[in-house]
This record gives sequence, C-alpha cells and structure tokens, in this order.
Amino acid sequence: MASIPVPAPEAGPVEPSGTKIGPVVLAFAIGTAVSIGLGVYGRLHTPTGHAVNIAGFSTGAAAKAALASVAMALAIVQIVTALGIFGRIPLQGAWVGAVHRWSGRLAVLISVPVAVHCLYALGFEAYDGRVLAHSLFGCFFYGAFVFKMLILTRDDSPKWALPLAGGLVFSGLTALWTTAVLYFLIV
Amino acid sequence: MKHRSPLLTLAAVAVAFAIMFIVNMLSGPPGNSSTGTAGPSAAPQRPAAVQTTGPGPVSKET
Repeated sequence: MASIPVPAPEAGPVEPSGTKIGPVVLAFAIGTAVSIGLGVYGRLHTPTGHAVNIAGFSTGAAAKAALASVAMALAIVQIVTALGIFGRIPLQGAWVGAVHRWSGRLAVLISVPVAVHCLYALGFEAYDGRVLAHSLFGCFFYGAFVFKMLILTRDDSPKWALPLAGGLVFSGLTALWTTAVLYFLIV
Repeated sequence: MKHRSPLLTLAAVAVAFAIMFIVNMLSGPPGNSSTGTAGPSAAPQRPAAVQTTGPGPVSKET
C-alpha cells in the first residue's frame, strides 16, 4: 500500500526570500523581557543612594557623564560604520566591520557602570518627566541591545531586522544621553 | 551558520553587570575610602544633599 507523502513541517513562518521572522520575534520578546526585568528591579529595589565611584572624578555625576559621553561617541562610530557596511556611505575594508564590532562592545561595556549606578543607587523613578523618560530609556536600551545581539547570531533574519535593532539601540542611547548628560551640562 | 561572538558579547555584558552589582553590594555606604557618592548627574551640585540617603527624591536624578 502506497503511503501518502506528508509535507515536512516548516520551522516557522518563512518570508518569500527564505528568511524567518520567528527568531526575530523571539529575540524581540527576550529583549522586551530584559527591559521589563530591569525596570521591575529598579522599581522594587530600595535605592541605596550611594554607589562605588570611579577614581579620578570629582563626583559620581561627573564620572557618569564622562562614561556616558564616551559611550555616545562610540555609538556615533557605530552608526557611521554601519552606514559603510550597508553601502550607504563610501567606507570599505575589513576594518569597517572590526571597528563597528569593537566600538559597540566598548560602548555597552562602558555604559554598564553607569547603568548599575542608576539601578542600584537611584532606582527606577518617575517623579518628573525627564527622570521617567531616562528610566524608561535605560531599560529600553539594554533590551534593544539584547535584541540586536540575538539577531546577530542568525543569518536567516529578514534584511530589515538588523538595521532596526541597531537603530533602536542607538536611539535608546541617544535618548539616555540627552535626558541625563545633556541636561546635566545645560542646567 | 551561527555566529557566536554576539553571545559572548552578551555574556561579557552580563558578567560586567554582575561584577558591578557585587562590588556595590560589598562596598559600604559613603565614608569608606573606596566609595563615592551617588551624585545626581542632572542636578546642580549640592554636596551636602547628595551625601544623604534620606527619603524623597533628593538623590534620584540620573
């Protein structure tokens, strides 16, 4: 008796080009969970009001402003090199990718002491609009970063996914810098 | 092909977070030689105010 051929089960929704949207949705969900987790921790944790300072800076605020500004500068390097990688500006060579990767790694690592200070010493606050925005963008930034890192592990993501993730990370950091350092400098 | 380096980057950032949290938890309140204040990055400098840990949003700016 002839068996009826059964089509192989698909791994998930597949876009016409052969890319898969499922892993992108999963990465986005994980990033969202990270953002929410950070926010919940910052809200539930009782702020200590103090944290380890970095030698060489007069105040914790100065240290955070300096580190965040370095991270912001590296993020601009990220954007420029990303434009080169995607052929939007004439930047070519193996060094472009290397600079892109290492500027991103350094930017996020440099931001970690700032974020820990904010979460541990200050917590998630909402007593005025700027502080609420800063708290939200802080959580958003690390969620977007996780989203991007998870997408980077896949070759079958849609073409729009990586630029979207990178744009979200850059936007988050820019908003963070604007709502803290720029405010610190002009007020 | 799966790329591993982004996962290593994620792990490195997670470890950095963990180290910084542990260092902060092990360090004492202001007054220890290895600790500093939680100076607000967005507020005018008020040394007396930022040293306190009292109620209210005195040192909540980020």
